[in-house]
Amino acid sequence: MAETKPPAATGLVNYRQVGDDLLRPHARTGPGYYLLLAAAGTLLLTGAACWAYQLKVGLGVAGLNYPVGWASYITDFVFWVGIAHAGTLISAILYLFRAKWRVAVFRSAEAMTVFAIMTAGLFPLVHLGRPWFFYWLFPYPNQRSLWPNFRSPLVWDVFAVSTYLTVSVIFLYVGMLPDLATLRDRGRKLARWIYGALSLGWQGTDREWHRFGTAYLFFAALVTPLVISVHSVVSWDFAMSIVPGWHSTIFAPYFVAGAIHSGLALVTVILIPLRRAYRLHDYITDRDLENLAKLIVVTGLVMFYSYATEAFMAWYSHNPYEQAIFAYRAVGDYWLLFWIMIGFNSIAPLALFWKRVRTSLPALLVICLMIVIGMWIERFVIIVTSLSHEYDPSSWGLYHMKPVEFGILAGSFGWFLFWFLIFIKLFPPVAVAEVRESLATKELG
Amino acid sequence: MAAWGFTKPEPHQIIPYLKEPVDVIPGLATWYATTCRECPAGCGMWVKTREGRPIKVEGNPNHPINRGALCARGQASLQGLYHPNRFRGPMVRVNGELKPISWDEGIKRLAGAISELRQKGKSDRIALVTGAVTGTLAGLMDQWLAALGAPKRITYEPLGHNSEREANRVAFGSAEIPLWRIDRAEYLVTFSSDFLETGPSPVEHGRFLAEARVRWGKGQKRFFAFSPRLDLTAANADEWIPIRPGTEGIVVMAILGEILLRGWVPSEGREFLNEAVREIIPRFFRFRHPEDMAKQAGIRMEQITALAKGLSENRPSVVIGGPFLDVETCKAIALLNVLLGNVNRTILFGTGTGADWATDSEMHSLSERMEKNEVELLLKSGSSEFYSPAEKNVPLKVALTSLPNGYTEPADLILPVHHFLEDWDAFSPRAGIVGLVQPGRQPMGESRPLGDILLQVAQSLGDKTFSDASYQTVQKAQANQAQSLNWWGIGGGTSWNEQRRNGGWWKDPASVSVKLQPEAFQISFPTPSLKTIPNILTLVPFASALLYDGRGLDRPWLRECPDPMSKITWEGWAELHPQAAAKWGLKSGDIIQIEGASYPIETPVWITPGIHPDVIAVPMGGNLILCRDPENSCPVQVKATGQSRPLALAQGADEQFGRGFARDTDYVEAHEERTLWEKQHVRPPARADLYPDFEYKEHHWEMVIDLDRCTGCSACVVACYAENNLPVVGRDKMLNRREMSWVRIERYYEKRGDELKALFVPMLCQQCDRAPCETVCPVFASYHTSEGLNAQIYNRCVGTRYCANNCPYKVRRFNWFTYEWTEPLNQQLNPEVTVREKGVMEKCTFCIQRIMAAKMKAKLEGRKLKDGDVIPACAQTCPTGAITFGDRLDPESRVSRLLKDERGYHVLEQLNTKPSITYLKRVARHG
Repeated sequence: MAETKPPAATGLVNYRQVGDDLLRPHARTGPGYYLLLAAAGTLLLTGAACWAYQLKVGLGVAGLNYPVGWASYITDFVFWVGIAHAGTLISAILYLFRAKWRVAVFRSAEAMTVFAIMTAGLFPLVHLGRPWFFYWLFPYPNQRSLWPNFRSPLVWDVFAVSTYLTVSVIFLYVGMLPDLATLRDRGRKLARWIYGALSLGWQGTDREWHRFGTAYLFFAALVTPLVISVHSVVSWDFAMSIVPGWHSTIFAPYFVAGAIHSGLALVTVILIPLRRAYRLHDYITDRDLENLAKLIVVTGLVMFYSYATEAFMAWYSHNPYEQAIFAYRAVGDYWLLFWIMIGFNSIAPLALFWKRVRTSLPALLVICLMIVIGMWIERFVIIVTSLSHEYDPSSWGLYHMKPVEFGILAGSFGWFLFWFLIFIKLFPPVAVAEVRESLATKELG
Repeated sequence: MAAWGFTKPEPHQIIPYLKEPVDVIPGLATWYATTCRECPAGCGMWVKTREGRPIKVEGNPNHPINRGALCARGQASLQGLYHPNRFRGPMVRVNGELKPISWDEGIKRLAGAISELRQKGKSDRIALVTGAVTGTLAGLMDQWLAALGAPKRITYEPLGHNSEREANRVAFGSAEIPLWRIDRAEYLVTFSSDFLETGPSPVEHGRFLAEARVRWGKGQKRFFAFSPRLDLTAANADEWIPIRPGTEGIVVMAILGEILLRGWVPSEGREFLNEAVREIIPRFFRFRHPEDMAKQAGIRMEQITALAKGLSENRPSVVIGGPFLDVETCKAIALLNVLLGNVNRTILFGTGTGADWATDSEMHSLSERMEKNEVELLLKSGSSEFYSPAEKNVPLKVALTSLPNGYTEPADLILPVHHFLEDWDAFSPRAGIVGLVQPGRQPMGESRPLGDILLQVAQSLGDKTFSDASYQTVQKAQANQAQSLNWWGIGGGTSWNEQRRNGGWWKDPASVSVKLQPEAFQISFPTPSLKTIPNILTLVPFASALLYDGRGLDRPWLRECPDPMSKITWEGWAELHPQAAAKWGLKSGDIIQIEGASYPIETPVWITPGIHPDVIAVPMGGNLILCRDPENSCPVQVKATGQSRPLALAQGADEQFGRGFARDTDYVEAHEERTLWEKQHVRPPARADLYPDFEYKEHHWEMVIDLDRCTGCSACVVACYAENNLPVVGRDKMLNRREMSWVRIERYYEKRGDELKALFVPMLCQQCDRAPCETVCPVFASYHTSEGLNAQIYNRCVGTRYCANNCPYKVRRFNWFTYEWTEPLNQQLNPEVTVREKGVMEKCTFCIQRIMAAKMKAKLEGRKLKDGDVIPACAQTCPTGAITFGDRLDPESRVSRLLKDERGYHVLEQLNTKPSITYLKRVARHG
């Protein structure tokens, strides 16, 4: 593929053009969009119906049993929280590192973050035995003076995920202020009024831009530690237990790396069809996708290292239960899933070392899909194999996913896709203001 | 929302009594003493009733047979009382369908049929088959049959030890099952006898065995079990010797021969030595040496010699034969016991048990008569599990039973009788013991006592001798007279009320001394025609502790409780050795057809090392079990059908892989099986605790489980279901591992050299002091009480299931659904224990309701709790006393003393969970 030049060099693009191009999804919606929205809605309704059935009859409609008390729902939860981290990495961490190429992709990534956390937040409700009492996990004033148990990693989850959601939403919103103003300026009547309210009276003065930049920098700095901490806390759901195969200090960095790995892959999977659908090739360039691929190589290598370390430590520790778990994972009842996990997550991304593979869109798409699937399977393998094969041999047992669980998993993708589609219809999927800013810097420099 | 079923259930109205019944204080339990009638053992029972409903049964602590314990079947008798399928009233079969009729109609029909036969002079064509009955009821039956001119009653017990009784008749002149005082024995050899599971008195013999084991202590092996399969008795033996059925007689003779030939007959047996030498040696050992016999049976000669030596040196001993042996083998065993001096020392006659039970030939002749259309009225009573295909020739079959099952299916007229928990009766399992049966509640439906039915039929026939209004009148009159019930010279002096409160009366009878008859030496063994013929296996029917001869099939608790050895629930199976299975390429769950028995059996297979390679074993009941030739072993052919069905197993893996759940010791340090962790020299550091210790001021509840006493019988499992309102989930959910049992017996196979052993460990909530479940519950539903318990607050639980994941013992149970109790099984629910809804986690609470009840009682009486005030349901029912519960802070309590035992260990000690349950290692003997 030809190296794309910054648009300004060709002199073909101006600020107006940028706005027109990037707000095309906002302006025109083809039948394809509505079809996709309908599909997402259908999946969502299927998931909702499955959940309603489960609420009525009981958790027994899922495949959970003794000893596997956690399986697909917790896998879904950890998966979706993980996805969220890549967005924050791209928008906050890459901002701090002044990686210019993030400009085109970070808005979609941030949106993905917010909706992924919203999806993840559903799953604690789904997996609870009595979800109508979910609020007991929050420390709210009550007449029995009851606190939640702060020693429990699940309560830490509550704080971590709700903090992440709150901060991410604010970060996304504040970052969108200039774009909301653009939409206000272009809109008529009702749209103008709504965007006007949302843009908080943005006028684009020098002082506002200055304050905006400072605020954004602070937010980025605040959100950055969350990338590490949130998934560490989620991983401690496992690491703080005594279950062999879970009780390992590597879990925090392992899960964070895995989160970023899966998130980057899903961002790529979203961006490739997005830019194709709206012909945003000048903005989301091949270079950007290639950079994402390079990041994926890094995280893929970290995953490989993590798998190797886990296996090594299991052997080196001489802990017989840890060794038994790893042997079970490799050759036991779930061996196929285990090797798919290794292959998809750590071996397949190595292909991205080669430029030919990195720059080939089909290859990139396939590898990223493999990673998304592989990362889901990784959570599943970690949770289910450890619980299947714990300390007490008479309690060993298998778990199989039931249709209700597949329905809810599909529903979660439907929910995510539904919100994401609404987002790109209502807001620009690429940050208009930042692209114009990069244009300006190019012109000046 | 209502349409989706999300509304809250409507509250029930609670209305106090307008007129309180005399015995009842609402909120307090009323106890009645009665006798269990689930099997002929006749254990005494106390029935706990609340507001007129029996909710729990326990053993009568005063009864000499069971001393307060009760087996799983006894515990499950409540489900017989409350079974939803019980006959509501008399029924008659019209065009293949059962139609309800009135009692008058039913009595009239039966009386009509009888009088018709009498008029034709054919009253000898009436047959009455019953299970074990004694005393007044038996007398009434006999009187009734005599008045009708009908033949004697046939008392049929499928596990009636028919051959043994016949052998005893020949050998000692007394066709009864003697009392085996295993607790006084120094050596024990059994031949295909599963006395721990099936009787004749499982609770009593379990206790005897436990006492013997404690007395034997460490040292050389004392208990050898020859058995085709590793059943519960063989698992509790010091060594299981697999044997092909049909060869037991030869082994007995080989041992006998060794003893005679080597001059090892002990002094106590010298009385008959000369005769034995004169009769036995020429007949059996002129041309054969015991070694040849051993080889024929496939047993190593060293073993025979060792056993012969052991038996002669360790006296007294007991040699027991099982219910399916043939008469000749039983004669040989009788002879062996005589020569060892066991008879009249550890084998006591004069019990009368089974003296009036039908012999094999009597059962055969009944079947023959039915085939020849010589039986026109067949009455089947009570728990009799009698069925013969020839029944179709009988024009009128009457079932006098309370529950429909396979045996009542052919019946034309059903006159339902009371369940024993709502009935008046008496049962005498052996001389010197008469157990009274009194009801715990009003009858559930329109059933009537069996005695009443007989009386009413007789009165309807116009017989003036049967003038009593009801059977209860009969019994009470006879009790008050005391003479008539003075079967063996006891009774009298106590009033009717006192007898009822006691549950009966008993005294130690002088046992009747018996002498060996000369006919005993006429033993002849056919050479077993069974070599290992390819593709032919020997079918061994067996009765399990839970299902017995099939009568346990009606009880949901007994179906859900895993079989003690196979851990299979809810279905029948066929046990096969891996070698045999390999021949047909079978794996567990494959369905096979067995041909060669009385009728073909189709059943799934379970592969186990605990069976002889030439044997296929099928549990009794449901699946059949009559062999064409009960005298000899039953050769069958096996055919794979190609289909398979998963077995609802309650256990994941059959071995413990060195993890040290069930441990045993022979007190020799060098032989100690090191657990995996111990091999790695991993020990928790002394100060490894993150949180400070709990302080216990008043009580610290502790439990000690002695694995040397635990036989694996699973009575505790069923008792827990009864006490704590545990739901029965059914086969589908068991397949998905959704069981609700709070205590389970884990059975682990261990290979020690050539021997296969099975070790049992009851696993229940360990009430850890450092409970991994407490720290991870986000809402404090799992927390530590001030008395050392790990409590679960049902209405706080939101159901995250983190606690279950973090429990290394996997004892927590989640309510995957809101389980329902079909009416009237819900009448059995214990009002002192919450019934949980879906989404809530539960587990063993050390019967906290009993702890609270005992504390309240002590407080009302103004005293402190003493040791023994609190007994959880599992400890209460254990026949061997394996479970001890008490307060660790009390230095005088039994648990405090047991905690100092050197055999004590904690499961998964290195996890530093500090469990409140200490297990005592099983004592393994060697040699």
